[in-house]
Amino acid sequence: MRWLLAIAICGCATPPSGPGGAARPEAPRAAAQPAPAVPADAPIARPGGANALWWDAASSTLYLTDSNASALMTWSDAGGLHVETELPAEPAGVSLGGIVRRGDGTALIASFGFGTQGGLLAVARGEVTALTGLDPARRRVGLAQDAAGTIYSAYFVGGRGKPPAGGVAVVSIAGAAATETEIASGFHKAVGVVATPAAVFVSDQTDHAIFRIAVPGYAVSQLASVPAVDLLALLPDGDLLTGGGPAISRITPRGEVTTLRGGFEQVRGLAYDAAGQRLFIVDHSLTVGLPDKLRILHLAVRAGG
Amino acid sequence: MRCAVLVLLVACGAGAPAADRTGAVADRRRAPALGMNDVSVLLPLPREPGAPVLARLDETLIDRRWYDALVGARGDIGPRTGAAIAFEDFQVVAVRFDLCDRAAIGACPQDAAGRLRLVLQPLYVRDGATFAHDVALHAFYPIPVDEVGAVVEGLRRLAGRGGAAAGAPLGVSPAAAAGDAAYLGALRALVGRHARAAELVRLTVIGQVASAAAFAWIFRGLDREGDGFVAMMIPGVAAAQQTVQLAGGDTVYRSEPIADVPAGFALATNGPRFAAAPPDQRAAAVAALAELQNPTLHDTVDTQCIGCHLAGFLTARRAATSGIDPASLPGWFATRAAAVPTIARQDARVVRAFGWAGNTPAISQRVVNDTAEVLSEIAARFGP
Repeated sequence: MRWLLAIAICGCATPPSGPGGAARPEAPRAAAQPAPAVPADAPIARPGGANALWWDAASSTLYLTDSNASALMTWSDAGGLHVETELPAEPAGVSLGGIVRRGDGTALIASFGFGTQGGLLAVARGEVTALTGLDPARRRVGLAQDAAGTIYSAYFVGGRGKPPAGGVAVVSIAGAAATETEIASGFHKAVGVVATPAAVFVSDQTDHAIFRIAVPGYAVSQLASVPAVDLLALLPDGDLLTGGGPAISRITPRGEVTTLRGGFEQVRGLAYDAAGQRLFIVDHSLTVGLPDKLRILHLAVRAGG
Repeated sequence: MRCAVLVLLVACGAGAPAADRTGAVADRRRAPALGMNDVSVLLPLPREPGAPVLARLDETLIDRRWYDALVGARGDIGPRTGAAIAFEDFQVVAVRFDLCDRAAIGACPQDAAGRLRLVLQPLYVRDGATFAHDVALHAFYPIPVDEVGAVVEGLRRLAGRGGAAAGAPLGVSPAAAAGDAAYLGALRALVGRHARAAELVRLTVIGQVASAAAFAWIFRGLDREGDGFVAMMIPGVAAAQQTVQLAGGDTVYRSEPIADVPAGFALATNGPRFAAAPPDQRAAAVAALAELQNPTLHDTVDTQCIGCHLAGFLTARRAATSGIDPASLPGWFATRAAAVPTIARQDARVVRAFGWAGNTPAISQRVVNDTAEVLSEIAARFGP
């Protein structure tokens, strides 16, 4: 299956700006640091199919979930792309979602499960554990972890002809068992999630919207309408990024939406490296015969917003 | 859906004067033997969609009511890019001829009408190049029984144009790729003679599911009934539509509905189950894939749509992971005929059997085998 994952560096982009609810292009601005030494548009002849991304600042390592390889993969400047841990392939088919890396080094991975085999996988030191106690009907896509280590999952049930019903839950893990405590519901196709100390944000692909879930209390309000949404990324200044279409949308905490960059096929996973001032992007190929791409966009963001 | 094949013809009608027919026979003696590319013609994509290589879709080829009933009014088929496709976006990308409609397994009866099939895909421009969306119509037209011989004669007159030897592998038509205006004109005349909306007997579609986040396809068709049409029932599944969603895990085709015919096919569509199966079941699964590509064993009359359209990639993949050589199996269709290497056997996202995946040709082994079988039957009936 074996469609290729190509890796390429995109040109520089800029911080956000501007008011207004409608997406609009941002003006270019030079990146604060030189580009990392990655050859531009150099294809990597490996199986592709990456979806979600997680940047681990401590090890300067990018983690990727790859459904076609059924693997957790890593990429670094020095080591390139390789399989970190192979993950079990379920008969329902493999569709891997979000990643979070916990303080103890364990990676948690959402497994979509197609309505029958949904769950979470824990990967530690090459060992894979399918956490027990979770509803297999939930189609989990996004995972998030706040600064305190609280884990959130975004999911929906239904789909394939049935209206999707989505929610967000806090995930508690004890050994190989996990429980989900729903904190918000009433969404439709909830896919992306990120967490801050004061709020959890969830993207809804049906409604083309991003919702804010207040912490504590879990009151839900719509933050923004966006042309398309997919997995979410959180920038150091508090802005959100999402894709789902040919462009990356940037959403401020006040709900202002701008277009960070266009020209992709379909933006899926996003992850930001604050030290390197670069944004990693999974550019999913919608065209049969063309490879998926992992792209790197230089992006300077001032912390603290 | 028939993973079958065609042949092409050109000119000369059944009602031609005797003197003309005599001339045709004389011409045949001078004409080169038919090759793969003479009976199954994959056209190049045009440089500009506004200048079709052969023809764009219009109501002389397909009544818009058929198209609307199959695609347009349903709203569930469309490129994952979200681009809208219209009736007028489709162009003929391939032409195939056959000696009959393959309503029964085995050689075509001599008193059967021949068949012309057009493959049409919607085209678009991307970064200055022409691409085909992952949607295709197959339009089937009868060739009156008393005109089949003339069609073969016409094909022979065109054979070998573009420098392709009779033994050349099936690929993009050399003559069409060379822009041979005389060839394309003759082919266009042939299509125009037999591909008439009023004569359309079957229209099928394989297209991406417009709303799917993953790669997924719908397979369905219409059959003529009197002056109208009815849903084509898919053999083996007692349904008028099949859907397939591609999932990861060494290729899982999530199919609904699916028939385990031949036995082992369902296992072959699921990588994790295939990997976990005992050796005898894996062998049976690869054997099922081999049989699905053998026109002397199976054809559209007894084969679900996804059987032919998934077998190409799956045969290569399951053979590689199991170490089973499908050519060693009794159900394998033994032929020296081949296609040029294409993406069809390399990429799980390609379900096209004879058409274009983006701007890359896709040719399945089933179409190669069908073409070889048609050539064999033509030689047996009309001479080498």
